[in-house]
Amino acid sequence: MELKITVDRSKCSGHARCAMKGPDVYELDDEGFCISDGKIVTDESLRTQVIHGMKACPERAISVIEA
Amino acid sequence: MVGGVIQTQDRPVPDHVEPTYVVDWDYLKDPRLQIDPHGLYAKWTAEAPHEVVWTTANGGHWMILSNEAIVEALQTPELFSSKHTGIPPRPGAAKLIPEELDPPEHTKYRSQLNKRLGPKMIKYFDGRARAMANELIDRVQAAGKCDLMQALTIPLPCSLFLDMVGLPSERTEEFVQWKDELFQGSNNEIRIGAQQRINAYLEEAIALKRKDGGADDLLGYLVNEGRIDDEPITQADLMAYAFLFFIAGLDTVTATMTNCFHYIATHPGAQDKLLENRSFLIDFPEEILRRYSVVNSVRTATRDFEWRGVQIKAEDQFVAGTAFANVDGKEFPDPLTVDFERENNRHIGFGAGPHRCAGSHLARTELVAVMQEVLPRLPNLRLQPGTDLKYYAGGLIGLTELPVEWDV
Repeated sequence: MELKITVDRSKCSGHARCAMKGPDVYELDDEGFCISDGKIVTDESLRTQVIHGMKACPERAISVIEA
Repeated sequence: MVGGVIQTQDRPVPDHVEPTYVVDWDYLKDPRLQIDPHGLYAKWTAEAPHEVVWTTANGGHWMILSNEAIVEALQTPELFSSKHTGIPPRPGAAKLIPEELDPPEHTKYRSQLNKRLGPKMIKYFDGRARAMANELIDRVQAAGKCDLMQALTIPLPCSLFLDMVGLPSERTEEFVQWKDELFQGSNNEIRIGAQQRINAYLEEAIALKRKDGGADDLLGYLVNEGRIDDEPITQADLMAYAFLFFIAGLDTVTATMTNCFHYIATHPGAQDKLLENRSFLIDFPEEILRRYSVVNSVRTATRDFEWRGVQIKAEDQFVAGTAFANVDGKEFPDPLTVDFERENNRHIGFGAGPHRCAGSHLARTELVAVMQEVLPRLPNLRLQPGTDLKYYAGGLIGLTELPVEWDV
């Protein structure tokens, strides 16, 4: 499997919820903004983290495509 | 007439508002707010004839009543300005920085805070919060009862916040009193007196930071290393920052922490369930932040525009309440139920858009730490018999006391 994460940096405002729900997937900068735009996840065991992190974003800034 | 829709009493409904969009809902003074504000928000959200309605209350303003529309408004500062935080606007009041600024100005002031309030910086406060929670509970545990606000949920967040800003936390009690006088003082003289005391104190605190030269805490950092447009931050801006810290840091975490304990004290079985499955303790404050949100923010139209079926005129005001957005049943099924395992909980308890609460990482750290430390120490937590709780509810929402007892 291959999941591609897209983060709309203009919407991300640093809630850091993605990284709370997906600590092994989503990376944050020092201010708490998501820096995982463009990341491709191939490890099946991380699928739940990818999806839960996306769905926890209050700004709806994250989308995930099954590549 | 659509459920509760009426024509206005005082100021006529402006010509640009269609009659079917008019209601008389008062989010500041409706007496039901004292008993169950969030239930009323959910009711209004469910019954609204449109997702944006005009209320005749408080001089007339828009109310945004769907989660999606509220998030959009908060994310679109070009149209929905933060220049006034009250309805109606308070003329002549000093600007709150950065709360009442819009991008791009806001971005410069805000990034100074983000640098110091990111999730990594805040880790240190986890240990502080745990130690402080245990100290405070030590004082009351044997008694088997207390007002948990006085014993814990006021002193802990306030002390921690003052620590972070770099103001002396030994003076928490005095500062809380000034802040209460400022907002709830029974006459103008008391309120103005409080404002003067706060300003005089902050001026002195800034001078001390300047003399000391350190940048370990937030105020010291702003005074000695902060830069706006490559220049040191001006004295006037420092005062505005410090004043906002003073009023923003002392209420909201207290209100949310109180809501967490209130929920547990009024829902038998909840405490055991949380203690049996510690992973719930991480998500529990999130669900309380959603179900019992503590802020209703205000926005002001920057110009005339059409939006979601209504004509907006420049300077029209909006309630874009996080507390409304978070009980919209279209986004959160069964919105008034606290569900420890709620999926897709993209609540906006800390707001949305560029003004997302700068202290959210600190607040989350404190909430989880306090729940984990305190819940095992107050078994069978419940309200004292005969307790009649009341909320204050408007721009900020919270309980006024929380008398509880537990098994000893």
